[in-house]
Amino acid sequence: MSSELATPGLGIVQLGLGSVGRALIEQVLAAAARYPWLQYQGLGDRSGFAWRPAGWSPAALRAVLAAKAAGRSLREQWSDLAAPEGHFVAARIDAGPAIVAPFRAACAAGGLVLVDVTAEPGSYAAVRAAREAGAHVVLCNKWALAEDQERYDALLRAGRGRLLYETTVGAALPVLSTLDTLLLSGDRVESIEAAISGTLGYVTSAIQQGTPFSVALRAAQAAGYAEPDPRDDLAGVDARRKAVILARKLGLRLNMADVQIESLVPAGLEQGPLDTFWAGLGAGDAAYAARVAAARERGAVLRFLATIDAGGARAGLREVPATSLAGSLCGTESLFVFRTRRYGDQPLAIRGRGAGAVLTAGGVLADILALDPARAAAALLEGPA
Amino acid sequence: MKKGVLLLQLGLGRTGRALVGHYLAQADRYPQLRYLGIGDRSGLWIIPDGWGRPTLAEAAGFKTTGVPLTRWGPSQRGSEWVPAPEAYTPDLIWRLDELGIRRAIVVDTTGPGSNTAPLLVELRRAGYDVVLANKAPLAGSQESYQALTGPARGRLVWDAAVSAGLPVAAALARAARGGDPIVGLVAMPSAGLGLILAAIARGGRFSEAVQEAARQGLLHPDVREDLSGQDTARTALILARQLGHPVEPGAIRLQGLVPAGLDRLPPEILRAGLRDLDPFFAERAWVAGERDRVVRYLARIGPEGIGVGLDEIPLESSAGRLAGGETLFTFYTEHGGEHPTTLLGPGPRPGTAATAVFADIASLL
Repeated sequence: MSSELATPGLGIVQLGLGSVGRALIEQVLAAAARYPWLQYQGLGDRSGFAWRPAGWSPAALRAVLAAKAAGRSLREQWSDLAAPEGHFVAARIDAGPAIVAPFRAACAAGGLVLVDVTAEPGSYAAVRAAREAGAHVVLCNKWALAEDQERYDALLRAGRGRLLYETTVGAALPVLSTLDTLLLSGDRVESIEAAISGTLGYVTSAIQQGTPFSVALRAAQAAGYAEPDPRDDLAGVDARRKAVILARKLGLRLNMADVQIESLVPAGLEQGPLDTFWAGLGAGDAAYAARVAAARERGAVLRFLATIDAGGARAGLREVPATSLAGSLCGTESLFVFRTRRYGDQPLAIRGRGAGAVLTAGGVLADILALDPARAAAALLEGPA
Repeated sequence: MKKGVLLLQLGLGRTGRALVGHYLAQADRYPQLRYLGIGDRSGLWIIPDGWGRPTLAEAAGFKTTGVPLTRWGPSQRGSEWVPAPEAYTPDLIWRLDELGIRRAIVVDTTGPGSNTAPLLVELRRAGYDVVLANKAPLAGSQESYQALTGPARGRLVWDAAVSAGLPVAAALARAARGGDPIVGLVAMPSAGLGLILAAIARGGRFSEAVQEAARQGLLHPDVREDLSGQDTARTALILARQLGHPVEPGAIRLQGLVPAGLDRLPPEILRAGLRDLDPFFAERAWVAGERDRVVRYLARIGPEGIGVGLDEIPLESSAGRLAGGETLFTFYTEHGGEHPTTLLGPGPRPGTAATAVFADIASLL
């Protein structure tokens, strides 16, 4: 439709070129014919940030992907270019407003989205500065949303652009958008029960089948599910951030420290080198096996679940009936069960794979397109790309 | 005229009456929302200044007797009767225009056979918002679907009609846009058929299970809509279209829950005939159970097209575990492989269906 070409494009500034970031670029390239208004203008990785107001061509984006795959940073790639159009700043996302400076003017025009697909803890200031400048923001990185309540409030108030972050909880599963729909329709969400840790889902599934706890955790790490230091998983560091994001959606005011987490790190092994941790971990296997056996006697299984309700947010190892939805989960599957006033006893549930770079990137792209849903829907009506 | 949002309700059957009841219960929370008109098969009463609560309750109460609205009249001044031929064609827009009403939310709570699609298209074009409680207007030809859902001045909301308030449409729209396209969808949209088959799996009789599902309000007033599979097929068609597949109704491979022909019998005779099917369903359930499987009535959308019918699935699957009375939508994506995403929720009862429709109306306020 010619009318579409006349409407302005959406500039993408993407910070993060890890597995999710690269998958996102590939997906945008693959869908370029369907969504011609998407235009990459900025890219950042750990080495710095490159801003090209005229945009990256598909060929230039493919070159970035190839070079990143070969281990070359953006800074090295930029210095290879003879006369690059645009400019490069040696600033990362944790540089705060400095990284927004090159595209501040473009933000004000309203046609720009900042996409944070890094895992940087220090992303807050940059994200806030982008919002203040008028940009839309799509977050896959949870850190900016898990800041203390006042800073979180300030982030929401910082600008009139949209702030979308569906993939921060449950990756591509439509968890937050479903919550939004429920809340918008006037329903009240009384509680959320969620299996939000892929690693702990994997481990609890495995110990259910007789695998010792320590062996199951090693297997989870070998499969790439666990954090480099698996104590972060066992202590629920990531689960805590997700719980805060979900709880704030329900209108609760709380901070990370308010989430009560039952840590699965054995006493005495919280600190110290990883070797010591692994060596000492096996001592707890028998206790876990006994808990599994006791639960089985009662027709139940163990799952690591988070609960969010009016009383706050908490997470820990729970016994659930083997025949329940949570009891039927296998491996790293995620589950979100919403109990609402309208639905009463019968909950609304979302179940599926809540991790994976390609799936997550798909969710990020869906958020980017949600900035202009009418245009995306019209593009889809024209048929598959 | 007072400021606010006007509501024009087409259809005063079970869902329509429940919607009026829900509005009356919620009216204090939505003071800006007022009824402009209510119609049934015989025509439409319009009160340009808005319906008072007693008048609304009276109309809904009158309809429970089964007598058409044409035999009733509101005592409020200024009320106008628009007879059926005019009320359900684009002529209605002229009438609204004459009354100076250029904005309203029109909610379609008519039944599957009402053919309101042409009117709804014109209403949206003229700037009226449309909320569907009836999915039939979306399940006609692909051309009429595009006419109804395409860009227009008035908005269109239909979550309640297709998934009883489960945000399936929103989830699908999201997934369809995203970088991980949906390649297949398995749905159990009929909570009533789910309840019937779950009861049979537990040893119940088919004919009695149908009665129980009807008693719980999980089937259409005319159960042939459900038993023929037509209702499930319409949902499958709409879901496929939402995924971006242009599909004509005739392209669906539809196997009814009951044999073809039976579903065309008059309802009283059909009810008697259902008992003859008890042994067939008992045996199917038993054979499946021997293999740790259960029989479910499913809609499947995939590369090989759309199929709607009885299917055996593992007892251990999400759909296999359902106790009955729920709806379920599972979608498979290109990159998700064997790990689908499942949305699961309680099926619509007349009361909850009306609540979901009202939520759709409220989303437009």
